[in-house]
Amino acid sequence: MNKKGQEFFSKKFIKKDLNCRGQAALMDSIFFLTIVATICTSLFFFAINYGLQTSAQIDSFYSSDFAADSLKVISYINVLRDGKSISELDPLEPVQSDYLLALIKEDYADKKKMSEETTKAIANTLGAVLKPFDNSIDYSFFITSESENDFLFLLLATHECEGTDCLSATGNSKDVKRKYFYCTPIDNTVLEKLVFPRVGQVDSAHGKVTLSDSAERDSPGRPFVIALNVWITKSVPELSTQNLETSPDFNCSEIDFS
Amino acid sequence: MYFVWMKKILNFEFFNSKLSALDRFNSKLFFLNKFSSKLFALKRFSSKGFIGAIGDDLPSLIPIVVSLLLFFSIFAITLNSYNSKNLEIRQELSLLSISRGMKGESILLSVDQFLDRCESVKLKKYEYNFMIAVYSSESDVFLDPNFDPIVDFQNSSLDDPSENFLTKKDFEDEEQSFFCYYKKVGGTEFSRKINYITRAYPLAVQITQKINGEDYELISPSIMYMVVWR
Repeated sequence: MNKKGQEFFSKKFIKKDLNCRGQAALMDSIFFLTIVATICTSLFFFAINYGLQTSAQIDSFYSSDFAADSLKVISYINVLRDGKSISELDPLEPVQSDYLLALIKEDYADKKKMSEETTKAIANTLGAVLKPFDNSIDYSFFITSESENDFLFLLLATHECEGTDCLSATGNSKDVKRKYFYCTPIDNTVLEKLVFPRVGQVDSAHGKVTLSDSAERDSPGRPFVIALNVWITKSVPELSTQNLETSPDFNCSEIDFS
Repeated sequence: MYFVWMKKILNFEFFNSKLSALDRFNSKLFFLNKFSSKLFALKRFSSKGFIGAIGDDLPSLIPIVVSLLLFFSIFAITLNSYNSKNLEIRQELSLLSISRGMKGESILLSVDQFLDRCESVKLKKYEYNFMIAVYSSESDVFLDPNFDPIVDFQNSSLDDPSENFLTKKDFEDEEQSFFCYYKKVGGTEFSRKINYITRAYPLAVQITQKINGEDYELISPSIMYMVVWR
């Protein structure tokens, strides 16, 4: 065999055959590593995201449950007829208490609107019922007719800063105070239009209550929707005292507990 | 292997078709010689620089080992996270179901009713421990900005509940706290350090108020706190 033939043989068949085996194995293992890395990334994201939606649903369910329980409590409890809580009852004075729901029904029957005492009683009761979250939530409570376009009663409870120490938006700062407003807006969609889109997630509970006008003694009464909407405190220009008191959309006045 | 080498020989013959007959004969002899040596001494021929079955593939083994380690580590982390989140969700659901049983229609007329409900939610073989207590909304504890019901739970036992809990006289005229405690067999004592879930619910509670020397039953707003731990 000549030299040319030997060189060709060694180049073409022997050398290539020996050297390519290691490279192929290395390439295979790198492919394997790539596949495993992809699977690991998927597993990692699964581990991070698993249960988040369920937890969020449970939290939302709890918030709605809490709001629904608050509405029930409002319908059960006794208050003093001057709007104060029964804890402020004078043990030496004759008992002047009634159910809060009775006060609401009485006011509607007599004047078709809530008296100052009933407004205070509702605000006090809501404040007491929502005490565990008083520093971190704002809420609206309303009674509205299903057929009419205005509120029979609308109460807004907000937080507002009245000083320089306002760093905490959740009310933990000493300058952030709870404020209650009694509002008489013209349109009963004011909350849906101006408040709810700006405050984030709103947890609501609705109920029905029948109120009767004293002028219509034989009528079975009219159905009203009673609702509580709760949201995490958020600094919104629409809910500032100035806007609530001056804007014709809200037409609110702050409740004075003194 | 035999066929591969035969093919190589034939190809080479075709390539060398211009060579003389003697050269072709020689080359055939050379290849037959090489072929036989390749066939019978293959091991010796390719063992140049051969370290061993594992040693020869060491560079490719490193990514394989790394990827296996990575996979099993992530798998273990995922499994652990999956189990702990499932446990958390089950704990939450368990708390919700206990709370439903305890609050009923969100009204409590007596401390006996509360204790009856407490007994009804203490199921045998229940896998969680829980404590439930009622505070009056008018209680002074809520005036304290640092109030935390967990501290009261931590300092309470079945025989010695916290003084901050709401109390009322039962049917036997004994002052009882609105406090419910369930610890499963072999369960750990409640501590802030363990993994727990707490929730609060509003409740209307009928309390006794003394006015002009007479007892009046009035319904007052209260808060029911619950804590569940494993």
